[in-house]
Amino acid sequence: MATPISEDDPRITAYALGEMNGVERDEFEAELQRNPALQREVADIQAAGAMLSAELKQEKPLRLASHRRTVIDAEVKKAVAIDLTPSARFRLSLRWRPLHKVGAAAAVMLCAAMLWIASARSQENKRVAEAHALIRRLHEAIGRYVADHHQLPPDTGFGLAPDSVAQGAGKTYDAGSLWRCLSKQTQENGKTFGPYIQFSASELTAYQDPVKGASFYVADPWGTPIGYVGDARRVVHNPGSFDLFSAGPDRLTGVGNAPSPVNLAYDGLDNNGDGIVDNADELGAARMNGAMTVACNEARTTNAHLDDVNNWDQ
Amino acid sequence: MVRDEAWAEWINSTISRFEEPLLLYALRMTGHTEEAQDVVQETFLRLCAQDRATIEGHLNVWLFSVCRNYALELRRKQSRMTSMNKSPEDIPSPAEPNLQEAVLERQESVSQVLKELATLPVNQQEVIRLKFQHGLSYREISDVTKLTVTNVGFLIHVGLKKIRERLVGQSQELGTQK
Repeated sequence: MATPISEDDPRITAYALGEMNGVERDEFEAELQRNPALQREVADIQAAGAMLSAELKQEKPLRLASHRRTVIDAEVKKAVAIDLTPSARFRLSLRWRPLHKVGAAAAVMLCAAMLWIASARSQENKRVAEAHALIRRLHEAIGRYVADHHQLPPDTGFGLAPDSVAQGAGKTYDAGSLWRCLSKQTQENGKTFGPYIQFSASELTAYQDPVKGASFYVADPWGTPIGYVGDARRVVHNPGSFDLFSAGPDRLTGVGNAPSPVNLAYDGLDNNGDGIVDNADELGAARMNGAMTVACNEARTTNAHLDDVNNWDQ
Repeated sequence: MVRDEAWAEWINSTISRFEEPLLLYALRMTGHTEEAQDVVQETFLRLCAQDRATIEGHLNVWLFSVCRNYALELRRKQSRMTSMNKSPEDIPSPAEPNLQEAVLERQESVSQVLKELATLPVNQQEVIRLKFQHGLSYREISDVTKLTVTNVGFLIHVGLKKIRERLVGQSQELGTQK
């Protein structure tokens, strides 16, 4: 590394929070390998960041007063009305004149098709809203768990079959971790902890865990396991904390984003054989082309991409 | 710019998504709930007048910037109003404890971490909250606050270090008391 690193060096925090890139990051990581004190400092900063993040996200929510919301709604309505002036409406109506030549039966069929599409879209929007709410509840519950236990629940190993015995370079992933850690009351050293969340029956799917027996994993409204990445080596979007997401309507992570036609981010494979399933490097193109981030920004209103529903862009 | 039903839906979804974070941010900037409401209402009204194409892709930075600028503008106006009636030494600095108290009194039980955060200088609190509460990157925080990225990194590093040191100090004190 070009200049030695003291504990007062802001580069340590920048690295720990995922704010360092390129050559600087490579050089820092080389120094990190050699320097145990630096490793401890990075881990301490990440733990403090996770604690701070969890505490801040528990602050009492605020809402706009209803009379203020009314003012904004009126402004929106006014703007829409101005854009649809009589002349604009006339121009729009001209576009639909050919419809008059179409028979009544065709019009009825068209209406039926539109109703069906509207109904399907409404169902899908309802599921998307449920997924957002579930992610939010889980995020808060994990924050409370961390505040009590000073560590994250085990990673669920998203992408792996729930009943596989997966090892991540010394770490066992537990598909039922969220149900096991968050929804049960536990006693430790005479203290009672939890439960941090209550799941409805539709949010849980039963499976046989090879180590812990009959268990449940938390599923999103489309039946896919919720993605929970708590292993610090795999976290991509919330360094020092955890990634939480639903695979969304298409049940796949990061599909259909440019420039690569198909990206299966989190495919559950250890692609480079380093013993860690789907770590940040293995996400490769999916990570580099922003499949897990750009999609959610671009397609927020269309629900076309899964990653609309996560804890880094809510 | 076409303002149709899709545009109205976009405005509504933006309000749902950013109403809470902007109110929390504005409350820290102004120290008063009602002024925070004013600031966020004005931010969304300015959003209605803005061409969607010019802000998509950096919507969060745009909203936090507008919110911040209007909060500062409001604070400046109030300082001028106050200065007509009071001598300059009577005017409280926005960084003084009255702001922290206004914010803290909302919370029934504030964790030690948040108490320590509230003792930091206001500029450190602001960047730390933008990072850990609102999930902005150093670059985005720099765009919102007009500080350099290096300065943002420095403020976060120093603030986080102070919080860690104080928490460690307190746990050691507790240990010796036992």
